[in-house]
Amino acid sequence: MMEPNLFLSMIVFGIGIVIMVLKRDLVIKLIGLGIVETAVTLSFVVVSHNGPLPPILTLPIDRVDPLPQAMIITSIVVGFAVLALSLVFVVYLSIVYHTTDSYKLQKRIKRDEQ
Amino acid sequence: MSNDLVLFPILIAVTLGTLRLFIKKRWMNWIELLSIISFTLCVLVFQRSTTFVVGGWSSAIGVELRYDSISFWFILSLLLVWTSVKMRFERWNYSIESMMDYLFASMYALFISNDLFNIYVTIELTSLIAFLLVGYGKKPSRVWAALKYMFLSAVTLNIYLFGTLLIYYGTGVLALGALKSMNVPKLGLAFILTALLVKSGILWMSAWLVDAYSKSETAVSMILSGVVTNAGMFGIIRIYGILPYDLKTLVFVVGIISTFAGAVYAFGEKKAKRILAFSTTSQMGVSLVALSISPIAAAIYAFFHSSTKALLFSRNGKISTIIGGLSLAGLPPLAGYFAKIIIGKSFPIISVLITFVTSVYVVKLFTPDLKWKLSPFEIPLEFAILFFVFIIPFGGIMYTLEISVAVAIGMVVGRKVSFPSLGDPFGLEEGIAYQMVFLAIATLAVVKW
Repeated sequence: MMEPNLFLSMIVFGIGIVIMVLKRDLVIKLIGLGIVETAVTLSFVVVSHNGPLPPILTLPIDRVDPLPQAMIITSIVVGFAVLALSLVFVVYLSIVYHTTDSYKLQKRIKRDEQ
Repeated sequence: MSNDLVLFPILIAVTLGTLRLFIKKRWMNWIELLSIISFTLCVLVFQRSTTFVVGGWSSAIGVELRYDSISFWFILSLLLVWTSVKMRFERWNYSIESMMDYLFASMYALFISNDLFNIYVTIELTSLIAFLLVGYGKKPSRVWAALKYMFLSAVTLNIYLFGTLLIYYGTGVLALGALKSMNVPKLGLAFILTALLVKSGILWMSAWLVDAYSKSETAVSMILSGVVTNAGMFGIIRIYGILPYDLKTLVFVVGIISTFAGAVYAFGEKKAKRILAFSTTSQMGVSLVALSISPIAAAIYAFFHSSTKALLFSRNGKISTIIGGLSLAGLPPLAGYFAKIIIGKSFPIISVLITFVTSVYVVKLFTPDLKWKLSPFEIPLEFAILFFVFIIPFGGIMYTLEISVAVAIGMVVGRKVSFPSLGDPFGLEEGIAYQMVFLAIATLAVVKW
């Protein structure tokens, strides 16, 4: 049922997740999130390609399938918005605490609360 | 009645939210309240249930919308909580006021959508606004909670998108109405279900929930618990019809686990806001249990939960806490009792047990430092809780007695017994790990080797 290329894009997805879990630096975590989003976009390209031919549906009339394009562009835009907003929050935290290490940040925030 | 009427509140809310950025006056609050309430009530009262595609396209290409009884309950709860938060007239930034309008518009758009990709876009919109609301005030702890929320929700929504993609690959359509009669790829449904469970606030999977709800401002907590949590729940109710049998069982099991484990976590906490946050995870689990009986039962349960929990999160005075707490526990003439009746008919023992564990932690909310006072913003919520008497008939006498006894015993136990806190295993990395583990479980449930 699945294409081999889809598995490849799932591996990219997994790489992004592993980066997000294992790396402590928030900026690197954001890069991992970017990789995850790119993997999903990539898999849209994988499923909507039509061999060497352009992706044109013939029924009921000849037209380009509009769904993949719409979904890809929307997911790119939404992913960009999320990345930009979280970068703003990371910058704010790094201005206050002078670090982007998530472990240290959590410790200092906890200490400040008490 | 024309179908376009359904879309009108979105237009009004977006227009007013944009105007709000330029007209920085207090009286805009009243215009927003009056126009949004009147137009939404118009839809709720006059519109019959309908399914249509925006722009008149075929449902294979266009965006299918559906307004039915499930949408009715969710939109009603959105309207109630939103109105009462607006009626607090918080002195916050004007940009946050326009965010509130956009939040209304995107939640409303979610509650009428019947298309997998449209659900993704609207959930992402609501989450983006929720991040800004959580981070409001720029306290570092709040910003950290918002950042954690953002990371976890971005990962989960990418999982959702991947599931959508698999379904599109297998069938070629995304409208849920068309998918009902097709052989939908089960793997895609497993991905989508995982993502929606994370968004709907199930214990462990929604690791962001406790911090985001307990650290943000009071009004923001009200709107998060009353409105934003419902987003994932609504998605699950919409896709429940096309889930295969294995995933339906999984939903039930997850609901039961989240109900009882969430109650145990809530019982171990000391701060009222954290108790309420864990209670949200527990109640969303009950809502999943109700979903296994019928979708409308889950919708009514979500409605009850959002009005009650918004009232409790306000922590305004003794009246609101007592009414909300007893309703959450499920004492007979209040909303919680009527919402649980349908569960009580199918699973009587589970229903009594849920009432018991809920009242055990609810009694910890009745602290002596609250004052006797009643503010105008509570009244719509209290009215909604008390109004259930008139629309749903009582259960049997035996059942009512059992529930009352369970509440009484639970309250006594909650007063007498104390319990150490179970810690806080809800960091950012743990959250992603929980999601991946559940994704693996859901995948194993549908893929037969």
